[in-house]
Amino acid sequence: MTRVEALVAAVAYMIVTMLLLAGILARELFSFSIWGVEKMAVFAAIYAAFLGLALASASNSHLRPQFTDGWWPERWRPAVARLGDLLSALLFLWLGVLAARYVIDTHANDARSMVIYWPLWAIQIVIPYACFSSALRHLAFALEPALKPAPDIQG
Amino acid sequence: MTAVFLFLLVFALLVLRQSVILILIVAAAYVHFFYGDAELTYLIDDIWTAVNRDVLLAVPMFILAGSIMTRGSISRRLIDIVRELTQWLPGGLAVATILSCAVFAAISGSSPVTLLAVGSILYPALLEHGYDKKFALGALASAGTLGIVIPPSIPLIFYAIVTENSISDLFLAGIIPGLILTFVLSLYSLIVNRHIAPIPFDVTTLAAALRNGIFAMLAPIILLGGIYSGYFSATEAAGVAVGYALIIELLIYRALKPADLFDLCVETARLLGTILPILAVASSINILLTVEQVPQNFAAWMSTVVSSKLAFLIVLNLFLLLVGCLIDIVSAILMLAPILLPVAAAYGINPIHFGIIMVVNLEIGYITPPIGLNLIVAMTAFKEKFLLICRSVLPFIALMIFVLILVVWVPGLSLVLLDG
Amino acid sequence: ADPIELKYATVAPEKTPWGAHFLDRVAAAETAADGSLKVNMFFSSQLGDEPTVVNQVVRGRIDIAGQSNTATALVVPEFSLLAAPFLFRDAAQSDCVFDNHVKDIFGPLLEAKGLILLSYMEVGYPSIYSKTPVATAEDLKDLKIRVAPSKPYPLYFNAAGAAALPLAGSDSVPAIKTGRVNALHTSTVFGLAVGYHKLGSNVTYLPSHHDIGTVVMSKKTWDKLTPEQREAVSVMGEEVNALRKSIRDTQVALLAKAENEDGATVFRPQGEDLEGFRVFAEQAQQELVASIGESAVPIWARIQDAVKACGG
Ligand code: NA
Ligand code: NA
Repeated sequence: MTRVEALVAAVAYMIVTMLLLAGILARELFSFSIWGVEKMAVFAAIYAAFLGLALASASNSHLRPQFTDGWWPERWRPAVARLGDLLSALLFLWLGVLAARYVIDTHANDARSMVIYWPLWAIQIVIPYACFSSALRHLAFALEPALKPAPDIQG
Repeated sequence: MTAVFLFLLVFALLVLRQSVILILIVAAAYVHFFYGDAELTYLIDDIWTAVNRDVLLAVPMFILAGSIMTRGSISRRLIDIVRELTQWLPGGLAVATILSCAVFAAISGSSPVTLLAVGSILYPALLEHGYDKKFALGALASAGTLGIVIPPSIPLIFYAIVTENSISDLFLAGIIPGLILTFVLSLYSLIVNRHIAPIPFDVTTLAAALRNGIFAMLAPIILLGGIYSGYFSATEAAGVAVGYALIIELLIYRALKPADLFDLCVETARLLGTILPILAVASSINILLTVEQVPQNFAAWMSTVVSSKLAFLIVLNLFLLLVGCLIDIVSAILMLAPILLPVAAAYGINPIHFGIIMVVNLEIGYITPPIGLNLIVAMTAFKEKFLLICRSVLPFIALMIFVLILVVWVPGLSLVLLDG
Repeated sequence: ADPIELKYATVAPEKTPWGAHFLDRVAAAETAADGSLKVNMFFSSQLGDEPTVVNQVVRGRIDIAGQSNTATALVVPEFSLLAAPFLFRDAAQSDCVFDNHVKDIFGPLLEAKGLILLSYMEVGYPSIYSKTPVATAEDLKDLKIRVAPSKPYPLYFNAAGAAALPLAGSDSVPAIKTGRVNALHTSTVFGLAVGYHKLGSNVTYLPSHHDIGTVVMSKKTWDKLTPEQREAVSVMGEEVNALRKSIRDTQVALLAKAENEDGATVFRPQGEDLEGFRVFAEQAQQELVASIGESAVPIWARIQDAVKACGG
């Protein structure tokens, strides 16, 4: 799962780069505008960022305030950590359900994107996906804490 | 009562080890439910609106470009040139450090990246040539912050996005304050280190550095030149930066392997995955505040309490310096800019100038404890004590506050390049 | 009982003919509703740009919007056919079509997508704000021109040999300042009010596209109202003639001011010069219909019939 998400995110950024460059070259060298390149690039970047959200859950890189960790008695801490992951899984699940309802609405309204008139649900669907994918990761960490990577240093 | 319960909810989530994103989202959902339309899918609607913006493309692209140039060899080659040009001065390596940060800042939008890229090469060199450790740490941590005033700048992009101002105007406005900061820090470094013996000038090594670094030197020129001669927008420039860095590092310098590129893309996606939800929640709450007319009322209230522009500017700057000590710059801009800008506008402050004031203030926050990102990065990268690093930046903080006062006092420093 | 509160959003600033019109109509509707409706106005994109607002009106999050052709066409793409280049012979003809046929053709289409069409709304004729003079169609060939991000505009200018760059309104000023484009194309009233003629001092008032927008209410909101309240809300769709007159007077006044006080050069192509601009319209119209797809063909036929009925 991580491999596939990472691959799609990386490909999405390369697509963004190529679209932006193609747009500039077409305009400056051949003086015509490629219809909607920036919009397509935005959609690719949205895919990358929400897959990035799932990847950050998988690698335990989300910012988390840690000053309260020490408030728990030493012997409870592993259990609290698992409880925390279970709660995160439930919250992401809840968010995923909200997002899915939203995307279903978008589909029912047949909402279209500015400029290129693409159906928006096809882009928005990455939001519930990222939430459900993150929920699964946290559930796995709750069931099997050994799977959880050490937190990243944010930079 | 509902407010008290919100506080308890956030507290409970903190104790139960939830991430910032989830805490913010739950808090926003709570606010939507009790103060908004009670329809929680609107939260998703706001998240979608926040991320579906053309200008947002600039953020991942500039981050990716900066990391490609750092992982590859462009940053090292740039630093070599600056070093060859300045190290024959007494205290020259110290000046080389500040200028390298400034030059690197012109291709990177982030402060910690600037600090790491320059520090990994020049920190050992400084120690080797007899510079004081405390000075070396202070210079790197402080000059590392130049990355966010000298364009391109991620925090300025976010400011432009949340206040609906032009990115290219903000970039332009950052140039002179950035150059003044560079000049002041360089001058200080030269004076403090004037007793340190220079490294003899050598034409052949300089020529070699120039030859090796020609494509690297072109990077900042193409980027900023392209924006201001009209070949591309600031957003497109970010794409050009990635494209140029890729061509140079993959094909000409051959300092980057496709596998590295894959890693860098994934790192960028992960970073965006941690920043974008914060942007989304901040804009969702801002929309709610607008509907409830909170910023307008706050501006009106403020003008009854603080009557003069000068008094307002003093209060504002003290507040922002305090904020800079406590939270990171992107979150501070996302949450505060939309609320503070209408207030500032009521006192007749230009929105572009206000953006620069905010960013220079919060820039100082990068090197103030307890939460100073560059302090933490320097501590980890150079393996030094946090306290030593905090002490090392003190003279630099004083200099930066001096420049801040200049920037606040003379709006022309930010705005003069915009007219015409 | 407490009045029902409604949110009304528009990108137009308060101090424009549109802002004045919306405020006037809102006051009339509140009076007609006898205190059972309260409308909160949000001007100048306070609740977001047009695509955001129109999607939220469909969802029922915002209740009413005063919006452009471009925004309306996001919900019903065929609406952009009304902005087809040189669709009408003159203003009298387009007024006749808008007054008598727009609601019949587009009311049901919009309702099927969740919007109640309260009225159409005059936006007026656009102008070109250029660094170089645009007196005849020949001059278009040198232009890199910003156009609104909706098909009728780039199709026309590309057909005429210019390079059209579709950009959101907020990107227009930076684009001409940096030289990414050398001309801007936008509404005459809006462009002159915000001073585009200081960026491109050659102003060509070209009646190529007669732009109209819409005032729409969310069907979700509409369905919740009593018959009396619906009647009151419909008052917001009245007085389109007053707005029309106000926009046209403002166009004339602002063009004169730009010419006489601000040192702009104003071109108003007439006769043969104007016909020269019309040459490219046919091709662009066909491309426009084709770009929307099959569904546009019968609508285009109805619009053509309406034009004929109005003396075309
Ligand atoms: Na920078
Ligand atoms: Na700080």
